[in-house]
Amino acid sequence: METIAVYWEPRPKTYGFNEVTGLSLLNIAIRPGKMSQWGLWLMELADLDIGFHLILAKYSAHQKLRLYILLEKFWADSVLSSIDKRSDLESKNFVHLTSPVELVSFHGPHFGDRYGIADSAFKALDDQEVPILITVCSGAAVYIVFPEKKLHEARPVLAEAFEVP
Amino acid sequence: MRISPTGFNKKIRVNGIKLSTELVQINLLNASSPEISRSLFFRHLSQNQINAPFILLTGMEEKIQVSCCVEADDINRIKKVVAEEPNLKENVEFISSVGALSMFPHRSNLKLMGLAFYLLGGAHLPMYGMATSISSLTFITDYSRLDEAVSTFLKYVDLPPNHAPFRQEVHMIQKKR
Repeated sequence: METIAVYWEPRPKTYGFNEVTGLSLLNIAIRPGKMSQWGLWLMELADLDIGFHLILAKYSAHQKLRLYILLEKFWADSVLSSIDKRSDLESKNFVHLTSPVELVSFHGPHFGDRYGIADSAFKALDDQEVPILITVCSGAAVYIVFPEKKLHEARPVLAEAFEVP
Repeated sequence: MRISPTGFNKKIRVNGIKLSTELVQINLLNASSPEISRSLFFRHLSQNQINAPFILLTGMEEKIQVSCCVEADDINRIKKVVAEEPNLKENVEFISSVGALSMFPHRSNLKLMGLAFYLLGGAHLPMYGMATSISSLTFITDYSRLDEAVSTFLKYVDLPPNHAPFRQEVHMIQKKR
């Protein structure tokens, strides 16, 4: 059965922007064959009740998986110390921390089903040369992580590109 | 398969597992002007009314700057667009027949993500990308191995008694009239 709904909006509507500052971005390069071992170390980290704002894992090059964990800055030292205790020397060399960083996230009606949402966000930010560290668009949610003090540049640009309630 | 007793000693409770339809992953490689190729790529997707329900973007210094998934039905249109765009055609690669497995909620806890790494690595299931959203943890693997991935996870996660992993049935498409 096909149902057709007609709907038009000049700018994509969002349910509002959520901003978080004072975050740290952990970046772990994981070699092939080390994925399971890192899984165990991450499960052990979870026992410290360390929450996260965002997870992203993708290949940075062929055979080079890179895992990003966005977490509160005050957790960064505990996480690094925990990784330091558990992981082998070689793996430690592939852990990098960027801090502080800033996050904006937003979602809107059927964002996951509609074309053009990412284009609207990237076009607005690229036109104003606002640098982006990482982005995830998954389901109806968009997460964009910026270097320190760039969120205030991104805010008006995104507010122009998207309709905020 | 051995699970570390300190890392995992009871099943993780999740409320649901959802499987996608067949997708194609597109990797956008870094070009001499990464911002330009990224903008160009997403502009073409938008102009051609192609949705990418899963997008991962990382720093410009990486060889693969964007990984995203589109419906398998859209791939011929994308290949045509890419072939006609000189700034993209050398910098785009495709991984055909992939699928997304989403588990929810992740409760902002690293355990489910660590388990996913542990199990996928142990079972030699490819993991082409992974990300969290508001409540779900989604990863991309071979479409033909989604059921195997579910079986692997069900040994270590608990679903509510009335819930079984489900495939997306309602397919939303946005079209300009």
